[in-house]
Amino acid sequence: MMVQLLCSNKVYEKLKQELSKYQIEIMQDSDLVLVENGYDIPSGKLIVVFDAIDYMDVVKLLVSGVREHIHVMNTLTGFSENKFAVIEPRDVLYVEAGSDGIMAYTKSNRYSIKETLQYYENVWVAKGFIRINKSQLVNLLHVKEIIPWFNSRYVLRMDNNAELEVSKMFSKKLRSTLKI
Amino acid sequence: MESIIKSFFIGLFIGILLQFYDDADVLFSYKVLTVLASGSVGFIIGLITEWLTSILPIRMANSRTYFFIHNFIALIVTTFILISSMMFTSSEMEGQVEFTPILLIALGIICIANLFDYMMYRRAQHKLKSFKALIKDK
Repeated sequence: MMVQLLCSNKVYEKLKQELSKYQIEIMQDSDLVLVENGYDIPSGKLIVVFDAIDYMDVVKLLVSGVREHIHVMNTLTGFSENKFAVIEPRDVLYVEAGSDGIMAYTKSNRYSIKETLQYYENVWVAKGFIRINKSQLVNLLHVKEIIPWFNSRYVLRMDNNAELEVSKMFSKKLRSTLKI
Repeated sequence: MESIIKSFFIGLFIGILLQFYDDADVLFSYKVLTVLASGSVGFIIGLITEWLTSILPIRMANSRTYFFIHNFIALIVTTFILISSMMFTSSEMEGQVEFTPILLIALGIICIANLFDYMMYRRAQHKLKSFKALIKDK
């Protein structure tokens, strides 16, 4: 996939770095143009206009589209009890970054997985995964109840009765995702 | 901060409502001051509530506890502040008798505000269900 960028140098560098992770090339004459707010919009092309602060949302948008057909989007390989297992994202309750690395939790087990939380956040956004704090990514399909708590925080009660905290910083994201 | 602002506006609303309840013939500026004072009391209640609830550990979080604590703290703090202000402003029995409906109105509005909070909680569960259905359809 190729995109053209029309943005400030600072945003350009950040986007270039992020897009390269997903093999998205930057080309001057691409049909898809990412335009930072305030820059002239070229005609006759497919345009995505974004605010500089939301550049990661653009990456997520592109990545979820690019990866839709890719195998990795629908499965992941986890390591548990000296065995590798193929897991489907829909079976994952949440992904956690801890001292043991990145772990994916299912109802019955926990698996050590590769990549980063940021990666899964981008790739699985369309599958209902959302970041709820600095170290956890949750699958909203497995949330049983949203418990409001003080200081703009939430607690998510999962299908397996695990309780995960949505930090103040990420509660806004949860509200906008669910349109609460 | 959000809940402190909310408390401030609930305070203003109570102040405005009390102007209708108390039909005394006083200057408009005095009425405005009363409404602002009511808003300030709301702000203080919000501040105290926020401070008290920030101490609570999140591990005790569940919906029943949240609504109970929220309502309980708001009612206790409001009652305490209103009774304190009544004691400072008037010590006569007649004043206290007049003060009871004011206290009841204030507490009633707080209960309604908490009921609204509960409705928002129900709405959040419903939105979650809709979101799950949408993702499953995809």
